[in-house]
Amino acid sequence: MDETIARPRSPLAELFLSAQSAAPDDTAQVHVQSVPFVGQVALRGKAEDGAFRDIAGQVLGLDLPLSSGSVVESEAVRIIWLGPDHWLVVTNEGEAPALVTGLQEALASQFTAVIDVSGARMRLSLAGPAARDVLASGCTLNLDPSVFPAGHALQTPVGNATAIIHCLADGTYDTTPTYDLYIPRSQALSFWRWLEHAGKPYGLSVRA
Amino acid sequence: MMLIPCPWCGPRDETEFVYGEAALERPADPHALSDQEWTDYLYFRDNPKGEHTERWFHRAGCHHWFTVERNTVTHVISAAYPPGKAEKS
Amino acid sequence: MSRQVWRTEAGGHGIDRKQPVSFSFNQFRLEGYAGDTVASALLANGVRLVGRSFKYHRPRGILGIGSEEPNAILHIGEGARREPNTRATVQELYQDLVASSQNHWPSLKFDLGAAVGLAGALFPAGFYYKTFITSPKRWLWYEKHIRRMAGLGEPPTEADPDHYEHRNAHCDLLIAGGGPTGLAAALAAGAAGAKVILVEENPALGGQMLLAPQQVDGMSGQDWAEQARAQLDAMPNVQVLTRTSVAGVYEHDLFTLVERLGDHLAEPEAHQPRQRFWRVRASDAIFATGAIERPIAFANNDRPGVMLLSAVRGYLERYGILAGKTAVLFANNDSVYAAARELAAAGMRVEAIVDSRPFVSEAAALAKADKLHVLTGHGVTAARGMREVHGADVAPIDANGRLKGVTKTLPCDLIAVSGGWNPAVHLHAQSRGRMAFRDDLAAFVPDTDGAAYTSAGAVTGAYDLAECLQQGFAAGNAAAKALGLDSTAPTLPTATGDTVGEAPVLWAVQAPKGARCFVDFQNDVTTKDVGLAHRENYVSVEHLKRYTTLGMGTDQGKTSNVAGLAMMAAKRGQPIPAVGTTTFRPPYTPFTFNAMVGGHTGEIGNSVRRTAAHDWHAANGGVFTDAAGWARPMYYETEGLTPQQRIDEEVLAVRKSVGVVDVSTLGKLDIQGPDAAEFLDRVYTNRFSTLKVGRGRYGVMLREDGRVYDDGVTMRLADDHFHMTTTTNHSGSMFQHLEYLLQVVWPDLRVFVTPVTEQWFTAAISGPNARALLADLAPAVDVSNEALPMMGMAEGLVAGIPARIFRLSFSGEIAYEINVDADYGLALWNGILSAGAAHDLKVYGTEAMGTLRIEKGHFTHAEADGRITPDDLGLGGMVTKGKDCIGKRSLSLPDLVAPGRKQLVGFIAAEGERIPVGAQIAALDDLDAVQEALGHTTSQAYSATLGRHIALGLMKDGRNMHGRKLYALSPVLGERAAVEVVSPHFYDPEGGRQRG
Repeated sequence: MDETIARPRSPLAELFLSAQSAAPDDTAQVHVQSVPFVGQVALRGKAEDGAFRDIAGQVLGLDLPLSSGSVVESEAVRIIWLGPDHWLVVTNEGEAPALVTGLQEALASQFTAVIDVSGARMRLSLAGPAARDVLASGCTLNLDPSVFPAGHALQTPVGNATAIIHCLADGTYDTTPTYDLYIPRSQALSFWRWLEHAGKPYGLSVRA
Repeated sequence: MMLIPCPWCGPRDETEFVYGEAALERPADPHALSDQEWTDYLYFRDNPKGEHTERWFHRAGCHHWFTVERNTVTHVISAAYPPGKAEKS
Repeated sequence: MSRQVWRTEAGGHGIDRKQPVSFSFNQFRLEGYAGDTVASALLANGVRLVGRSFKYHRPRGILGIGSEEPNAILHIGEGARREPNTRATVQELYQDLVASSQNHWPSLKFDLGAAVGLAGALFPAGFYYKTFITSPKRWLWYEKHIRRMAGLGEPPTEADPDHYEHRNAHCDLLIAGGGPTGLAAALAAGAAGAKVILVEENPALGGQMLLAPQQVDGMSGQDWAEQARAQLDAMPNVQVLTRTSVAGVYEHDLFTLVERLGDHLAEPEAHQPRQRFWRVRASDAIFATGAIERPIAFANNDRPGVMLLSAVRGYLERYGILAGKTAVLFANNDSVYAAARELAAAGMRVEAIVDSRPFVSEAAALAKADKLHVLTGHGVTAARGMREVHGADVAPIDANGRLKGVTKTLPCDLIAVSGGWNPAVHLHAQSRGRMAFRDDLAAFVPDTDGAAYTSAGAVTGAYDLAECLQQGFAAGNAAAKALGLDSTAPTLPTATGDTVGEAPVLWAVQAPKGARCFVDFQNDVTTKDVGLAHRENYVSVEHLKRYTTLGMGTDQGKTSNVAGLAMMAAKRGQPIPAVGTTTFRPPYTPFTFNAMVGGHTGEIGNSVRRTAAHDWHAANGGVFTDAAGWARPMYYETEGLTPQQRIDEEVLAVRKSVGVVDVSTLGKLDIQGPDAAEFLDRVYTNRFSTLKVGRGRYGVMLREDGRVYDDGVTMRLADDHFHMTTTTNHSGSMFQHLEYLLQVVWPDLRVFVTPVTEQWFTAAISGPNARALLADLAPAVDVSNEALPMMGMAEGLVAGIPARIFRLSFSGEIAYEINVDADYGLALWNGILSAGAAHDLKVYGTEAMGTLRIEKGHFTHAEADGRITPDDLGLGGMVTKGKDCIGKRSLSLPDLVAPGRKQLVGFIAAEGERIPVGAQIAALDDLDAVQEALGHTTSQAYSATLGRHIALGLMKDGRNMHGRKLYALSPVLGERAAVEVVSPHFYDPEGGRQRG
């Protein structure tokens, strides 16, 4: 590795590096994977501001989701509703700066804020038959697929941190329950320790 | 542990919220008030046994303030709405 | 190993005779069977003396058969797994279980406290109040005796090795109680499709059907319960939780449950929790919690061998145990006759059936006809025996329990008592439900009027099995219907069980003078104590409870509360409902703190926030402190240096060469919008609308009451875009405060505030060499004083990473804050360190940072403690005239402009003296003298720069006190120092160094 080139580092770097060398645990009912460097953009604007919505929608190629829990997705971006004036736009690693510039230029005359927050949260993916049980030990929301189906995302306390939970597969139709969690960077290691604790009865394995 | 109906997010556990205080209107021009009136606004609060109108902040959710009408005895919440809407004077 | 002498030859559907289980009790090796509880296993071995009582150290045995047990509470387990105060009637037996008695000294059979009668003299009702109200010093004498004499079990001293789990759940219907009523309700609601959680505290479903022979649909109650369980298990919408108690009912349909997954095992299965604490939000609930049999008080009714009648029946039916050889049965209802036949059939000699009722019921007449020895209109007046019963005194009594004839003694080793039942109204009461008093039952039942949830079965006073089943089905159907589910009512089963008949209440039988009749066994409260409370004019039942401690034990008076208040009512000549009940509080039965904590200790419970360079700090000697949840290095341990020597080196590096500190923990808010500048003018005391783009300004914020709230530097990134920094402490509350102002107070302002603390890693480099270091790190950025002056900013690559550079200073030297995306934080930190080698760079922590800011006289929340105005801090000039801001109106209130307010000053210690932490400032150098405190210190440090100990502090009229020679005293620490009052700006007061 070239020491002169600055590299990003995940708050759980050492943990997942060591997992790469370990054999996967086939008996585990929950598997955790770290996706540390996704691009993330905070998009602010008033939901009732039609001009803002139209321009942002054009740039992103998707209409902004307008209700609690809703998410819209394309190949390029995933837009998560965080509040009536706040969206989290998730994109691939390294693509946030260009997205910020594009949005800022298009929205220059609007009342809005576009902020690169790629370093503010890290993403963990939680998958397995017991994924919901593990979350239910530290989350007061009803995670039943009838209420929290695939494609639904909410910000709420999970264990010892405030997380965004995004359900990718809810276990219906023979899918494996799968959730993305977005965790504040500074709390990532503490959250990991909580997750290990909560996952103990179910078997928790780390996937590199 | 209450279940507080955020006007944007729906009912959520009390732990997601921060209590603000009684829903009072800040005087538009504090300097127009006498010392007595201003300190009444600063320090004096009703402490009702029963209906209370108050403000909560959805700290772990949508980051919005809203108004809640809550019975301080039974904790029954009869209404929750964004600030400025149907505000009691 | 002893034989199970009291076990019957056959019978006992709850045990498996093919699986013997050995255990120890007070180090004696005993044997029971799989399925036993510790209580049933002890009884099987003829062990009845199991403990000593709380106050009087009287010998005690087993009273009941379930969670209501007040007497038989034991230590279970050893070492870290020792669990005190465990009810022997609930604890299931496992191989090699270790049980021991509590509260006896030196041994169970010979207890010194009981032997010398010391305890008896010590504890009449109200003992504590009377003894210690006059002379608290007496406590010192009594304490060591009381500590040994009174009390319950001993907690383990080692950490709990087991796992505990929390679980949140949601359901349509929570059913508390898996007896006939709860099962019927679950079958009905489950069949209709409702999402049901059925909770039963025992290992098996069935409730009372398991404790006496009963018939449902032509099968035994036990078989019917098993069939019902199989039906429920087949419903995916129904979850059955056994070994689980509903602990509490809270507002907005929240129920807490405690599930015991490992308590019946020597240790939990691998990786599995011992207990699981549930928080359930249920749309509706049915309380099918049953009723608890109540005793009748008579003299020495606490002797081992006095038991509840239903428990004696249950030990026979479920465990195949005869709890005595010869019994006297004493009751006010017909259940005693069925019991007598069952016990006699199993081989017990029933010496007499003592029926307190003055009439001969139908069941009594049948018993007489069958040559059973029935004494109607009689009562047991006293139990004979010390460590166990060997006789019962029996006499004719009237309806109030007063003697009307001659007492005779009947030989027996068991007295089984039934005084009727108290419905278990606890959960209904916790849900703010009111009580109704049923005169016919002499019992409180849930008042349906205004009830939040449905109570059904014995808890409503329906003691008949068929009625329980019917009520359960009806409640389950109604709940399903209320959920909008199509409910097809299942067929009601036919049931036969024994009947209770008319049961005129009897609380106590008149006792001989000097004898003790216990009401509350666990807390040793007697009928006399209730009388004493009445004589001393305690009117409220809540006062009675606290004065006598009635119902305040771990059993919460499940067998005693109603009797206690009935006696109080009788003394006052009032009906029972007029006296009222005490408040029922969670939990219904005790549970462990560990279940509640759920293993959420340390950082699992309370997360630690780490900066991106945390691992470097930890690997390089960083000694961490908690700062508003963040782990921050205080200093870096260095071999050969004391902490103070290392801190001195860090301070001197900043003053003489350059230092670097991780300041990522400062709060950072992105503020954007057309009205952003106007908004900042309204929240800061000074003006930001006049700030040039690319420049920053230090600002102070007030609370609405005029006290300093927070401070920090805000940079203007664009006309409508600012980057605000807050103190580490207030980064969360500041966001909330600003959002309040924008959303509630000034909704017309168009501003977005977005927290970005997590996004940025920030390193501050400061010292005379800081500019040269930055020039090396950022070759493409013009870092000259002209291009990047104090309060200026630049953007560019630093150590190859895109960065925002703010030039501002907390230390008083040339300093730069370098902000990068936190993912690159460690890369920046390492880049600074490698470039710093050429500039004598040293890493410093919060201690050195604190010393540097004290030398400069900068305040923190130690000084601005919530009582302090800008003027108190010498910052009156920062409150800009000609504009308003939050809190400004308060600055002209009389108290805030009055002379004599405390003002910020510095203190410099005499050569070689050290200013104590938290010192008071006084005129006399005397730690013992009573003298006026002229002020106090708020922060102190050894200043390596000045070679003296210095402090900041607040002093009355402080700005006029410069030059005064006074003393900093800490009577608490016993430390003092001679100090001189000086300006708080100890170092470079003109500020030339930081602008250079």
